[in-house]
Amino acid sequence: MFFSKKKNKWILAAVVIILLLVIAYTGEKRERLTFPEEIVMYLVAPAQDLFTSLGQNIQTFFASISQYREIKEENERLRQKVSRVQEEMVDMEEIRQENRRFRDMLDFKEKQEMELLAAGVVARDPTRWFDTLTLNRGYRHGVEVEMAVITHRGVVGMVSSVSANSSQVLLVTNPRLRISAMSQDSRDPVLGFVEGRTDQREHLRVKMDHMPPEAEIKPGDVIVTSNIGTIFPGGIYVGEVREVDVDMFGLVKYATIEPSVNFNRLEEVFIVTSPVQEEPRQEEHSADGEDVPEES
Amino acid sequence: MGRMFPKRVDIMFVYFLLGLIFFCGFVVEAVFFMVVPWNYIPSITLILVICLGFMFGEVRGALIGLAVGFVADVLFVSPELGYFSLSKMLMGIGAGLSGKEIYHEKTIAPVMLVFAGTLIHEIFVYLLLFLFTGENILNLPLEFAITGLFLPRAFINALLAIPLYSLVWWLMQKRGKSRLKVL
Repeated sequence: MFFSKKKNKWILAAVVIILLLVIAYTGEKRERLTFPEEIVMYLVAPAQDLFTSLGQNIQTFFASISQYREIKEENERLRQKVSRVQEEMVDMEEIRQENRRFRDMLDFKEKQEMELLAAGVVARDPTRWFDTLTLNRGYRHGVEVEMAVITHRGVVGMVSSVSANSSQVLLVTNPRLRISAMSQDSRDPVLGFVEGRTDQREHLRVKMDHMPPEAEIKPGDVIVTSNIGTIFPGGIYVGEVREVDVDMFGLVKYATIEPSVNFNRLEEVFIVTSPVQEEPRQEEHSADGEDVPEES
Repeated sequence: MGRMFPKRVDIMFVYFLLGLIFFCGFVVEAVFFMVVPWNYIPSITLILVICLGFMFGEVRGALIGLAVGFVADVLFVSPELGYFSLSKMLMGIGAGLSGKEIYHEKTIAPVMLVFAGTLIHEIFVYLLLFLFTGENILNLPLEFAITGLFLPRAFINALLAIPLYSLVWWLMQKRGKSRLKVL
């Protein structure tokens, strides 16, 4: 063996001692490196740069890999957060609209002299064949058949049947309901009956019929309920005249009216529970042609 | 079948591959501490010094250790020099002396040698640093440094020695035994 020879052992010992001296010498604080060291550093500096650069690149690579999961998780968290916020925004918007509706309804209720019972719309006839609504108030709450249903925007319909906790409402767009109404704008109010239009049901328009041919009514006129009738109090907004025409015989004038209420988006309504003040006679008819109580 | 390359080219090729492995070892060591979140960084260059010393004997082991240690000193310790030169040279000699008595074909011997060699190397550097700087650079008592750092590192190095020794052994076999002597 190489190092078993005495001479070689001395060589090894010498190398070790030299290295220890190198450690001792280079370990002391020095202002600058020795010339040989500077040469070595000069030679290895590019290698060190390379190593550092490689290290940084690899570090960046691994960091991006390790961060990928974090970023993905964060992305997922943010998505869920956005989704939650969106849901909250929708809820808030819903609450805001509800608040606005309630405020309008409250204002409306406070201005009215009649007794009003607030009710929520829980169902709507989806087929549109019958144009009915279901409310969450019934006879336990004092609701009776043939009570008027309105909102702060105008006439909705009439209670057609009542159970303990719910009631059915015939919408004003239903041809089975006829309401005594008049034009508000003309100097000489024009009276007529408002009823649903079977030919244009999809437009949810109503028709004001039975007006004399000379009646002064024109598009843009506002139609309100008349005081003649026992179901609807007078002065409740019905809608606005869109078209005016005369029947084929020229005997009766009729107008197409755009109701002020959006029946597709009804959520809360009022049921008029107080008796309507009696006015001079005129008839209002419910659906199947039965006479509804007269008002004076 | 005739030789594809003359003998000299084959030897150069072996040198080149060994250099490349060492280079990669340095790169990995230089980079590992930046990448991995734990303290147990394997020392590929130390594994290679021990494995090559084991295969080629104490003189070549000492030279390889000295050269590799010097590069490590310059790269990682400069301006102080000599710590790794001395420690790795001694590891090369130790591995070379051990290799005289043990079969080289089996991987288990160099793996155990790497385990023991790493442990001794780390303790040696710890003491050497303490001796010359008068400071406990790791800020750990020796027994905690051994159990907390050196033993795990020796274990990782031993594990890594299995593929590395197999690679170097395969490389040397590929070049032929006659050429190993030239190395």
